[in-house]
Amino acid sequence: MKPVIVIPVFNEGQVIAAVVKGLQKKGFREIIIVDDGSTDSTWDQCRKLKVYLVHHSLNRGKGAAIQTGIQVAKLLNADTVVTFDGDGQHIADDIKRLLQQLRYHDVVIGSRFLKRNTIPLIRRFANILGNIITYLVCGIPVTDSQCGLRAYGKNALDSINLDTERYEYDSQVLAEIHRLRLRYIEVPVHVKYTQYSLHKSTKQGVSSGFATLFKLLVSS
Amino acid sequence: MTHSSPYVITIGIIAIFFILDRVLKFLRREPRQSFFKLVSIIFIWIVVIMIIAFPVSVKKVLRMVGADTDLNTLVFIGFLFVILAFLRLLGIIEKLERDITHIVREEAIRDFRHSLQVRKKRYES
Repeated sequence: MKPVIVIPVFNEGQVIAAVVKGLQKKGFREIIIVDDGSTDSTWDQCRKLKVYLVHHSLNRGKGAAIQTGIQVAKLLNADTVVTFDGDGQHIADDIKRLLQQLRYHDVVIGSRFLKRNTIPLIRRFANILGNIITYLVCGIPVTDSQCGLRAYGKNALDSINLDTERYEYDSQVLAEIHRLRLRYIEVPVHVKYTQYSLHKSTKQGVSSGFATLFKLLVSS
Repeated sequence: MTHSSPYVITIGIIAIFFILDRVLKFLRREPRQSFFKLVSIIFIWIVVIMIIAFPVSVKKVLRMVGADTDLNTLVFIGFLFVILAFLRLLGIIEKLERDITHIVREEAIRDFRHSLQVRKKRYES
């Protein structure tokens, strides 16, 4: 198993170095960062790191960046891809648990709600709503439809093909799992909400949440 | 009041065939299928079925929404066109967004391949 970590980033210049170093400390060397048209110091920060760097000249959204990262991982002959958020909310140790489960499943989905994590109430509520809608539209019951920490095996990498661009990507992956009858499992993961990640303007808000919902309904 | 003449049944079967055909094409994600096309086709055929099978009820509904007089009918139809145009516009924007993403991705991967080759050459020398 040759895991490649794909990190989609947009204006994460403040934290991206720490996120990558945390991964490298845990032994993950194959890291692809997809800079999704950042306008801050992200690109300069990433250039100092020992990673594969891919640059979107325009901001195309998290889903588009992940999809680009997966295509680059395939160029590097990766048979396993782990997607990891670039804002520092995930913990590198959780990846190992995901990879263990990948021996028996095609996709392993991290869940922040299967573990006792300190999560703001509004996010819990938004997630419950997201899970219900995802279940109705995509046909898969999960406890965390929007978690960015996921692992894909070769079978999933070869068969999942999506053209959604923004936050609806996470839910669309579930629809593909259902459509392609892939084997999946949810694994509890940690989450660290810092002042930085909670106040990031690019995070999904109420209006973008509605936009995601509309796109999810239209694209499914 | 329903008219069940052979003519109504034939049109009904044709309408159901076209609706099912479009739904299946959309679900199979066949090329050139969009959500807008699906909604439009279903809407048009349902309207056709309603007008043919329930002419009296359709008249009643039109009278209820105030679309039985000429001006009101015109406004009502205009409103429907605005909704359809809005949906169409959304579909076009969606397609444009996808095309932009495709171009941006191609460019990003081409640059990545180039940097990989440079890195390889540097490593070999």
